[in-house]
Amino acid sequence: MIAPLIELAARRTALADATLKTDETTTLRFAGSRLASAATSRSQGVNLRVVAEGRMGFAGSTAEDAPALLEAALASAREGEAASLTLPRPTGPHPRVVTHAVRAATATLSDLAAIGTMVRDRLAAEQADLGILVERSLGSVRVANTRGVDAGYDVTLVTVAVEAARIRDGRRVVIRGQVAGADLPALPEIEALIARLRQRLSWAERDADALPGRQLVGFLPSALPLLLLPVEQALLGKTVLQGNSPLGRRRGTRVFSELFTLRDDPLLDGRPGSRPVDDEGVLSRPLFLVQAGQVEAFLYDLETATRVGTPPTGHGRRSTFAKPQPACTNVVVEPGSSSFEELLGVIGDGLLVEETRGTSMGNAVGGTFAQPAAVAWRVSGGEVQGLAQEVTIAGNAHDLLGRVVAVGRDPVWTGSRSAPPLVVEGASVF
Amino acid sequence: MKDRLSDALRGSRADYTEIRLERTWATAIAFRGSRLEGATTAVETGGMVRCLNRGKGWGVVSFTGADRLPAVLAEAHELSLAVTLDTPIRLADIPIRQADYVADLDGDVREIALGEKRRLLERLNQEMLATDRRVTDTLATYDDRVTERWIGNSDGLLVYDIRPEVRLSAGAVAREESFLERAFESWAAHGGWRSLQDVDHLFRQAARRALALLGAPRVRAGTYPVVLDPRLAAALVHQTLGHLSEADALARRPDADELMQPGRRVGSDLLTVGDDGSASSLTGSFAFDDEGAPTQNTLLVQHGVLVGRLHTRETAARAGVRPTGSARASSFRSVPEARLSNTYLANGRGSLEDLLRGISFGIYCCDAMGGETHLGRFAITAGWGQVIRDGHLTETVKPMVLAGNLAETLQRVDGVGGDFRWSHLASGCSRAMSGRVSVAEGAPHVRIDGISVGGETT
Repeated sequence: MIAPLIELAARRTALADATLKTDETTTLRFAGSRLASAATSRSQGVNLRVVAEGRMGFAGSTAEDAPALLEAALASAREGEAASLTLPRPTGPHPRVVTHAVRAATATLSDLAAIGTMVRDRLAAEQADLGILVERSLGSVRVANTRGVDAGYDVTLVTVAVEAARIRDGRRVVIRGQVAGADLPALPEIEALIARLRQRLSWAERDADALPGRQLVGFLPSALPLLLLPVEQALLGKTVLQGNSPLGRRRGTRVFSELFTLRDDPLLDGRPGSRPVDDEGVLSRPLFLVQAGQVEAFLYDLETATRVGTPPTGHGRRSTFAKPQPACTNVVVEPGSSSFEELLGVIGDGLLVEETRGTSMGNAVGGTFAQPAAVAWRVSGGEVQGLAQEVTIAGNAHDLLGRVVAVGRDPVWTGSRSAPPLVVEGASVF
Repeated sequence: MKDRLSDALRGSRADYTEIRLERTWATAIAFRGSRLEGATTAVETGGMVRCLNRGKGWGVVSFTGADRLPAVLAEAHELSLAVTLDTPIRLADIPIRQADYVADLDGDVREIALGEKRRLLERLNQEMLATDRRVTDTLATYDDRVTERWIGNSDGLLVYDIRPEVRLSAGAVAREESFLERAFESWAAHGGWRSLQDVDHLFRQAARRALALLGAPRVRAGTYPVVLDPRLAAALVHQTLGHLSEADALARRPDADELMQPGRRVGSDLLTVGDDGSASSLTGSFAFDDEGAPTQNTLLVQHGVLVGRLHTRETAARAGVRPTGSARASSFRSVPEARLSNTYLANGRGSLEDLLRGISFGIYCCDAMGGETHLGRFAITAGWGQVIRDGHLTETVKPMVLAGNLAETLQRVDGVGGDFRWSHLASGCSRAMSGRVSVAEGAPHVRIDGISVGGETT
């Protein structure tokens, strides 16, 4: 419906763009040894933006009623802020990036169930209480505007998430892991996940009290969002424009540790944030955000870029009912040189955090946090001693990323983030 | 719509079928500083079908728009048949009713022009900006919605409701030299345009709070006697005892289940906690839940001892009790789960002054800015506070984290005031994967004779 919608809009206003997203997600959940539930969720939504008489308006709909959607967008524009916006023109070929895998798209319910069964069988010897989720999303994105852009691509995303729980001394210890990508997961990927879960379950057989106070703390990739989210938010052009980013005036200066390099890369094949073009029709490209601790770039959507007077970076994201916003695609923390054993040696006597409960509390972009750790390991003598129970970690993400003392060489994907483990100095543990 | 639903149910081949359809009209407006971020209206329709067959699992299909119901039913039935269970799912009985619940729309927001709503928010936003030149940035939002809901099942239940809600939020940023402080206020009502009376003070309050925090000292980290204001007390109860009473979450966590066994003491005998989805006209109030079960007042903790849990039909059957009308879904996209509605800590006796009396040095902690509970451990951030000296409130202090072991902390509650009030906040309650539901929470002032306060947050 998107082409007729833009045609219709072009008769009433000079400037309009729209995104149509469709999705069909099939979710299988295993509990214990069996498939426990099966669900399908189908959705379709169009988000329309118009600039009419110099004012910007938005509307979204899940129904296929183009005239009603246009009227709603025009009504929004009548109340809207005066705005100028330069929509992208159609450009050459889209950058190549894999977002869709036929094998994933054509997998049947029993193909998907077989993945869950395999994971279950490979973990059977652990005698843990297993919760396994296998999910396949099948979708499409189409972007069009009144300057002639009409781009689209198909998406598949397969997620396998595993929860392995054991009860020990009346307490349930839960270890989690997941893999996600456009294709069905390859066997080595599943094997790596299983090896990780097995290792964690063996670490969890013993308790080892954490030492309270400031110390060296290692963050495993699964715990890193606690440190990365505030930085990602602070790097959004919109946060900067609003004056709320602690990084806003520090572009070109070294803010973080030299060991910390961060980039946004929509052109990595088959990852959850991969796409050839953003939700406003701007071509995707990789972008260094932080290089050796120095802030290099901010992420922009069209509106924010126009207001700042800078080219858009291809980071517009829009959902059905909200206006486009800048957002990260795939976030990659550059790996370092340390093996896992070396990282444990660096920690020496401290804590290794696997998973925190929640990701932000209070002032998210400011980076200050105090989070109970869902899973954390006590390290002493450069070895994991056991599970540290009832631990809360506190500090400031911006500050701690300025005090990175070691970076692992083996990155792991968690959702749309790829990161190695990091060791930082001076987080508080209580 | 009802005929469509009944016809579809009659045609279902599954042993049990449930259909939920929704239609929502919504307006969203936001100002950032003096700039309008956007003003938009939307209509969303969609539904969810769940099928259950004997010895089999749930088959669930959700959809946007108005998919063809018979095809969706057939698909859900097939999905159910694909799942074979060791322990069959049973559903506790609920009253089979055919009824319409039409709430007073209280000035139907759908009949108010978008421009009028924008002007209201613009004026409120200006109140914040005009408070002081040091208020340099604001975020003001207005949201309204009217939701229609139809729920039918193959046992013959067919209920409908229409329900309004309006929400406002006020965020103010104050700056002076290199200092920056934020303060936040929000308000929500189970009502329409007419309920938006006397909301100006919220916006002024957010601005004044941000200004007051400029130059305010931090609390030095340590353990102090504290008095929680009703908002923070209510948020703490919601976040800890409330969430730990949701039966389906407990079923997935045997250790939390053990911690929350009925009859167990979880705090001082001054604590009585409940959840009341049937309370009149609050943001968590509904006549029936998303399985069509009537809502009720459920006592969770009585005099410090666990006495009840919140149930869906499935968890109630497993526990051999009656459903509590707590099966809630954030929208047609989510399966109903046992979730909180209007959660309260019941009134005790006395005033704030009575609770402050006898505290030589402590902290009065106010407003909740979020928190986390992990089993027996919790952390919650207070938005601001005041130092208590010799029973009197003195200087304002910056936000702080209160953290500790839940049972130990609740055991140290040595005063619950008689000044209960509902918080009427717009924040709602979010669950990972399951989305946000509207809730209310309420409490009186509460005194705790010792809690760990971390001073290092902003």
